[in-house]
Amino acid sequence: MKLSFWTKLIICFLMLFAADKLIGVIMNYAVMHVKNGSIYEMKYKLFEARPSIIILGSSRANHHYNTHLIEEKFQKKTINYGQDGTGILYYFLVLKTLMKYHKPDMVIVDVKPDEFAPLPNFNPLSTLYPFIDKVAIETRDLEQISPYENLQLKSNAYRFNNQVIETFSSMRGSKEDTQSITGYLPLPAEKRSLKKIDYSNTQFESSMFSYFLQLIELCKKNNIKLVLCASPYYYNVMYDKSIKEAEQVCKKENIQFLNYFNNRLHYFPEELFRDEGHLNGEGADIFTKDFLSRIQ
Amino acid sequence: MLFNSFDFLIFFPLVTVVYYFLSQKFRWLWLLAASCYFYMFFKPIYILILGGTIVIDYFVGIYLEKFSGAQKKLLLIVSIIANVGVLAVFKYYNFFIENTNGFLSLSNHQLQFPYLNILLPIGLSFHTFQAMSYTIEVYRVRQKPEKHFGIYALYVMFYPQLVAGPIERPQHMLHQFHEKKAFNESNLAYGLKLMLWGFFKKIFVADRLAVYVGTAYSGYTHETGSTLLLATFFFAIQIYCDFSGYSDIARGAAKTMGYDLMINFRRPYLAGNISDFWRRWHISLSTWFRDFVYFPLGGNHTNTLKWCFNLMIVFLLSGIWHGANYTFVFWGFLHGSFVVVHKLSQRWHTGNQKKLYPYGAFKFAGIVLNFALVTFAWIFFRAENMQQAWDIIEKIFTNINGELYFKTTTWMLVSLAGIFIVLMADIFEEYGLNVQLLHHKHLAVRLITVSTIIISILLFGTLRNTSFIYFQF
Repeated sequence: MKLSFWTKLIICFLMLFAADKLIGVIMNYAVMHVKNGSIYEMKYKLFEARPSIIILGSSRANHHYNTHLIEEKFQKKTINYGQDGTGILYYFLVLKTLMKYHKPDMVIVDVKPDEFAPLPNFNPLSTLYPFIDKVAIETRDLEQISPYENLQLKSNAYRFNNQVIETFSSMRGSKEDTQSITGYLPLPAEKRSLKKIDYSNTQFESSMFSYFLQLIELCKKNNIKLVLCASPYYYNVMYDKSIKEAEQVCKKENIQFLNYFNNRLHYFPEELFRDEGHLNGEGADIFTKDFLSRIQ
Repeated sequence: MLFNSFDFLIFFPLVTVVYYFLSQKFRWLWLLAASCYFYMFFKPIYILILGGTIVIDYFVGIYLEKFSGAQKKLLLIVSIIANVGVLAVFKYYNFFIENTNGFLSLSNHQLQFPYLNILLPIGLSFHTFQAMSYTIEVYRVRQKPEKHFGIYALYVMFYPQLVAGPIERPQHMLHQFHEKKAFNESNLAYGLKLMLWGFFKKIFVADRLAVYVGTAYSGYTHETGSTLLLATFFFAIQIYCDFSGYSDIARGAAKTMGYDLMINFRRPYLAGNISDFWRRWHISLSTWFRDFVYFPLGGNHTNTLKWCFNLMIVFLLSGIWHGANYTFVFWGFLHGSFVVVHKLSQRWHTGNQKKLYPYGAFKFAGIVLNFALVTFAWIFFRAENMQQAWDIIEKIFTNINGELYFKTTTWMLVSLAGIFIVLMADIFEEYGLNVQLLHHKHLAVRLITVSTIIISILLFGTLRNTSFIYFQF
């Protein structure tokens, strides 16, 4: 029997639909049974850790705030939620998700020189997608990524993009194999490039700034102490609108803003940097101690 | 609009379906409107530049038929100046000014010319060359001028090949727009499969490798020679999968509506020598230079010195065509030198090769050597400036034992799997092995292959809407 093109196309769609559903079932099972690795770390931090102090931000937060030192000072469980290549949209959604299950006492937010710039061309929310049914993401948040993101997320294969092998390989072993369960990841001393980036002309995205205002509002409403910090950067940062705006809001709302840019609060020499935007482990320790001494 | 965007996933079926529902009388208008929309996704205002050159070239074409002698030549010059002028302003002006200012500074002059703060219109070199091929062919009386303005505009703007080729010829394309294209299931199926393969090469392979190459090349001062060598190898694969992937998607999208675009790549990395490579790589551009520069200069019907000179001119122009940077000029110079050396050695060697070496081993050695030469030249193509290129080469040759930057095991495994699949597909096709799973005689095999590729792209692809490398040209 010779099938028409349209019949073949329908069969192909049905096969894809079935395969996608199967992927969803298998991957959801696998994600629930991971024992280590970054997916386990995310699952633990979002739904199991229940910390009192949380650190939010991009890779700079991830590599700059030594959670052990913070725990030592406050005697409270501390988790670092800093994530490479992310920004305000990501960590606002992380905070919203955490608030669904547990209320922290203090939130420390690390801001980048281009914090309120338009989103990069990669998806900063992709690490949350394996837990899409449990995280506090709304359609309007997904629309920041693309107008079609909500639609694309109907596909399980898309949801688990680039996470399959890691998920399955994380099903063996134990929690101790995870790189850092508290989220803090010190960088090695070996230096990479020191590229000078001019942030003075960075575009200001008002929708990203509105997430910042929502974050402040969320903390205020729940009586959570909020501290903002612009952690050290190797080159002098020519301010763009974003930092100035954030500083003004903090002043108005009486929120502490510790600005380390341009060695304003503490001098960080070249040997403490891994690259222009990241301190190495030694630098991170010095920074965390100094930061802790300034928190009011 | 990017082919690898969700917008295109809506745009493409809509354009194709409406196209078949329209009568032949209105199809050109629909395709032209769709092409304008496609182009205006990048920077809408630039359509005026494209529109301006289309109007000039259209009327030049009409009047070229009516005039002869000096007037005819003058018309052709007007067209070439209009097209090359746009290129000169948008693509080469700042490069020229940078060099002039540098020269003036060296000779202690205070005078400095201002730079233009403009963005390069996307795909400018592609549609400019396509437009020029029309007026030159009309001038040579090898093509009748197109009387229908809309069809001529569509020839320049046809959306599948508008921003990165293939650079078409009027003899091959114009008549196709006049023909009635009846709905054809096999064209549709073939076109869709070609697009799918293009998407695989771009999203699964090229964009994945781009991450490694970008990291290594941008931080080259702190990377080891071994990392930079691997990054350069990856770039060779990336640029092939990126550009040939684009060409496959373009050809596939056109084919679904019954249009044939020229083949732009024929398994270039399986070429046994550099001349063979250029018969397989970016064919639409290399044949353009052959027909409109190399042959008019005299080609190989001249003495050896002039012949070598002609070859070098073609490759230097090809380098400059890619971009206003000395890295591209040097890339062109390297390829020109390779081709000249190969052509000269061919004259000397003729008849001796097969006697000296068993054919298979000779061919394999040729492929490896050719790939090494081409990959070496890619360093200049990828580097941001000449200093960076030389530094990278120095590191590759002096620091090869250093630590290899290894993103993650998963990343490396998926990348190598992608490279292996593309390489195998090329080898099977090159040697006529009938293992074409996408076109297999059994429906089940075809359906499973299509589903597997789509799922693989979704599961392992780099879904970032990354631009194609050749868009910048």
